[in-house]
Amino acid sequence: MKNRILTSIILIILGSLIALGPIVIFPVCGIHAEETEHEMAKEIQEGAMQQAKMKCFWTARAELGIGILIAILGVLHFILKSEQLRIGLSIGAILNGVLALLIPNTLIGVCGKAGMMCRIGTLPALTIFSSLVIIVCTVNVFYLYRLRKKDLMNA
Amino acid sequence: MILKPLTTFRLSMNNLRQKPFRTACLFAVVAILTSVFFGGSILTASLENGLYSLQSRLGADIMVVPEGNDTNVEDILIKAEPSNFYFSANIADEIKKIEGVDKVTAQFFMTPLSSACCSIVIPIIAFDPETDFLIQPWITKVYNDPIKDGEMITGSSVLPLEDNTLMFFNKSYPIIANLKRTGTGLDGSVYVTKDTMKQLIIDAKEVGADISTDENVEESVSAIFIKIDPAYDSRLIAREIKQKVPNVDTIVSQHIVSNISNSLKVLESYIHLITAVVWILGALVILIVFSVTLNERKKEFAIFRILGATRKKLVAIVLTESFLVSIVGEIIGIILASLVVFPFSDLISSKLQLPYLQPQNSSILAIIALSLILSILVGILASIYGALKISKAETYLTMREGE
Repeated sequence: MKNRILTSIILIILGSLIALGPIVIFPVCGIHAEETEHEMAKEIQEGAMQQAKMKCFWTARAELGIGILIAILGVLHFILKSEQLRIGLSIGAILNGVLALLIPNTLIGVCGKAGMMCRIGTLPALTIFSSLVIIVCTVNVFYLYRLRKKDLMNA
Repeated sequence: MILKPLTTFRLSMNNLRQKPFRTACLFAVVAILTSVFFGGSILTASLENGLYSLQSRLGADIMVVPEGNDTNVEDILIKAEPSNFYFSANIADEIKKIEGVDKVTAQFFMTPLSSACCSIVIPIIAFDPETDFLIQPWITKVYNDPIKDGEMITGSSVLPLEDNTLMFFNKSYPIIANLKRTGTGLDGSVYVTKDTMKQLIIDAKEVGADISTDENVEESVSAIFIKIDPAYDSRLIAREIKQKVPNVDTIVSQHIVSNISNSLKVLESYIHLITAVVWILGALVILIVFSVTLNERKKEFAIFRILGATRKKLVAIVLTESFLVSIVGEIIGIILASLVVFPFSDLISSKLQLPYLQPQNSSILAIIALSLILSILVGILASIYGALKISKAETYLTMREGE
């Protein structure tokens, strides 16, 4: 019970940080530019963005999706009681954590110039948060696996 | 089933395990203490290291810039902010004539104001390899050949393209060396010869790019750096330059260093104050938690006495508990602080706007050892009073208490 709640809370917090960190806490370059959603939607409707977006903008977008997914996995951890299912959820979160780690580091990346906010703030923050997701869920998988084995032996 | 011997260590471990919430709270208190001490120490060490690095990196005793630009020099040195100010190159010849001036070299600054990616700009500094005594000593640490026209040397925080080149105005320039990190604004600049600078300005005009200058590289310079004879006073020579050469400002290196050193002292005193307050509060919390819990555990210790434990054994159990709490709390605290001070060192440096250079691994290890000793000492000092009180209590009376 305690493990279920703890893992669930940690995953929800880390997922939210991965999702919102690049937008609110460690914003990527130009995220607070005077561009409203309406203007963005208009640009997309027109078929092409007027100005090329920086790499880090797309990293923030991708991390938003992955972060939400990790937070949802955290909620499912809380709802589902079966240990076998929770092992599966944790493995899913590990894979998402790996993706969250690879996106700013290799798959999309951040801006190429030193000293930019996305490089000195967003990149280390996302690396830490996604590494924590991987570590916490790996420990949880081993813990649940051992617990299940013990239960089977006692049965 | 084989029973394990009930050693002091095992007893302490079991005691801690039996009360997971109390143990977790104690870990948290020690972790907070250690992370504040460790984080604060790394921060002050990095700032002091940065100041030392700036001091050795400055190289010149006096800097001469066009009138009204003396504050911009600090921006270049600390923040790598682009600056564009120019005066006649002939001034260098005038300065050379002044008694006590040993070496004179000039630099030309230029900043491409728009670049292919992102909004950041890289200041380009042209120097004269024949007279230079500022950049070349640093270049020789990483590269032995002289810099040729068309080649570039980058500061440590300038990231090259994949083929180790930099692209300016549609032309690619090879990077022959990347200077060591200094923790100053100079890490963010690119260094070239005067001829390369000329070519860069021509290219910029050809592609219609926005650059910070229209000046002629041969006739103008941005700053003149002076090394004076050790027998002379740099302040007096600076005053003489200001009197003899019109429309210039002089900056004495010592002033820059002492200005930064003053702001550093203020910052350091805040860090020390916060660390001291947190440690006093933390030590009090540990002291209260230990004395309250030991008071609650009086009967438990009386039973140990009845079972044959000596008074010494009781003290040892309590001290081992506090030792274990200190060690685990310390490890958690150092990991937490490390997750902030190391990955975000560039962010801290850019927010503080002061030279910031992380200390060497040996210094970091020394700080870890010091925080370990401090946290163990605080833990033991906070628990020793309760431990002695418990060991002195009369077992019979303690057991009958409350009847």
